[in-house]
Amino acid sequence: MHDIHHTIDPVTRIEGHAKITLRLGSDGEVSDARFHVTEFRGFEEFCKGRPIAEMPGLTARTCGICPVSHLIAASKAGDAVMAVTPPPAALRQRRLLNLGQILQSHSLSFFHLSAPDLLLGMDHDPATRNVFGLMQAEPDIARRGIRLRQFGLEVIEAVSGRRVHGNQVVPGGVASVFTAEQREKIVADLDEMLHAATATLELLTSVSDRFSRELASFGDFRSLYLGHLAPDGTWEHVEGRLTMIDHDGSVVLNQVDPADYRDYLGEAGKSDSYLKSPYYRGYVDSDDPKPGMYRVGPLARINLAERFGTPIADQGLAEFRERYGRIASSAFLYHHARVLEVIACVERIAALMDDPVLLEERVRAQAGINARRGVGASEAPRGLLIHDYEVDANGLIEGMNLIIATGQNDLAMNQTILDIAREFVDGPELTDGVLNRIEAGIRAYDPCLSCSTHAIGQMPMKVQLIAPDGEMLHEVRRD
Amino acid sequence: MERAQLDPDALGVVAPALAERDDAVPPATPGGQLMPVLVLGIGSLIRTDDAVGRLVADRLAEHPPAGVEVDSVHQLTPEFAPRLAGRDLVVFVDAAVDPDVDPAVAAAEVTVVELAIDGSGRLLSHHLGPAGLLTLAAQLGWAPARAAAIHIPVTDLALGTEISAEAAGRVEEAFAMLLRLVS
Repeated sequence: MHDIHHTIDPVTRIEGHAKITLRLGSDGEVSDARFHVTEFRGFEEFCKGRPIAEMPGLTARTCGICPVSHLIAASKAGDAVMAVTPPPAALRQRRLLNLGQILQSHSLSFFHLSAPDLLLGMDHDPATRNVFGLMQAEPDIARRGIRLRQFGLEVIEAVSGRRVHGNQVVPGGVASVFTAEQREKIVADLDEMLHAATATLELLTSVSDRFSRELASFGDFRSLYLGHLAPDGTWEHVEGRLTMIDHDGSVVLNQVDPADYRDYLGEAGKSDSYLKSPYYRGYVDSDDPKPGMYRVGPLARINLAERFGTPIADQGLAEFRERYGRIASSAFLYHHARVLEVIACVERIAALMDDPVLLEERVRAQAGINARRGVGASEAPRGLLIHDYEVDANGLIEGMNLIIATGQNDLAMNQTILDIAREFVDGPELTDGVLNRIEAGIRAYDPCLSCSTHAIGQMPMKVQLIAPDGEMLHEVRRD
Repeated sequence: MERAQLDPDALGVVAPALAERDDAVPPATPGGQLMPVLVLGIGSLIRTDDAVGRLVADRLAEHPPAGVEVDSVHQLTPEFAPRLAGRDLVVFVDAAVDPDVDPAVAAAEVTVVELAIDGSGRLLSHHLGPAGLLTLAAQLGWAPARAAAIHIPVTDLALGTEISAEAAGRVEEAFAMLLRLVS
């Protein structure tokens, strides 16, 4: 039998162009899967020479979905260069912003992108297997999703003045005081949001049994997990240190400083993609980064954490663990983890609303350039985000490195696509159900390029079956 | 979506109250009191004349008439649908570059059209215009009583933060229409 390639191109339509290649070996089995990102951004180059004070605003333009995450990581790197600790009120505002960010992004991912797969079924007609089909079939769920995302955006707007690309977070703290009036706007919706979030978890739990095959084949493999974790084991998303565990929960890195990430993370470049592939150095002793594969994001965070620290989310986490074990390894469970985090976000926002420190008027520490390197890290919705800046004596950027969540999941996404292809590809033709599942497997990780280009609707895909001599044997296209 | 050109004064009639409608659902406007009229100016501030809708809305926001809420937005997203609920009137102000707009009409003059709220608008996967947003709102029980659009014809959509002199004149014209519509 010939070696055969399936190419899925493009995976996305506008900014986040990507394609997938599946390679069939001589035995007819899928032997390799590659997720290629063909878009080049170049932030790490064109930011050179700019003042560090501009970095939050500049790097936030990396993404229209999670600009808050970049604002926070960039500002924390600025804190380190200034060698200051922001005032407590500023830290709480940053925390509130990040909770709004995770909430709105997870709501977009779950309700707009993944819920059609989960609630209408993977084999549902692609023409209506989207958020519009969901609206017609399950209007209550669609309403809930829109309202949860709206609420997350309104939390962001209440703190930063804008739904997207606010400039509230700055090196040293935040730009302005949070007022009682802003707090009241958020408080007014909390009960409805908590109800919407818990009802969503109940719904997801009720349909989970339909997906036993996906659960087993969507990236159910051994990997490491990396993310922020509070010293007492509580879920953390914006401050503190990093912990890494392995597939059975054994601690690999315990409470390490994000500034030391170069000591334990390597970045593998690829000739066929602009996406870097970070890996854990401790398990890699050759050019192959796969032994150091780790995952970040919602699944990693809930695997790391002993508890959320809020009652309803903790109840959900306990039931999740009863069902899937202490360490959940299937990428399909990213969806479930996302919904648990939505609940935790609402509960934590509610707790912050009762915290008087949030309203304190001292919100920014002032200082000059006191260090030539600064590293800032936070948990973006999709996982760990690191900004690493080197500056000259005047605070102009001389070197810069960004470690993005989607990149850190790259090796795992490739493995997930490979697992799905091995389970569902049968012969030289790809069915629509296979395409749906490959697409859904990628979406489980909610990669940034997917969410930024597919807020509504299905992923356009072109699949080509090409023989080694270049002849196209079969093509499936879905626009 | 069916649309008809309007005399701005004709839309001044107050629509049936939410409570009288069969599809009434609680309006989802967090925090504050719900204003009966919502004006949404739409456009990019860095694509020259595409900003005209927002300039009109921003000007109204400086001294909004009683009962009128104004917002200036880069683009419409599904999260705006709940904000339409319970309104007597929603007015979209936008540069006439929407493919749904008849170019023959758009090229001629600033126009006000009433938008149907019957779920017949097209829902596209990568673009949500006023018609799509109204359809979304109608399907989810968040429809306003009436909706209108002010289309401002433009010709220059290059990158830039200054609008053309021609567009500036039409901003004045559109602002006057909007004021008559919502006052």
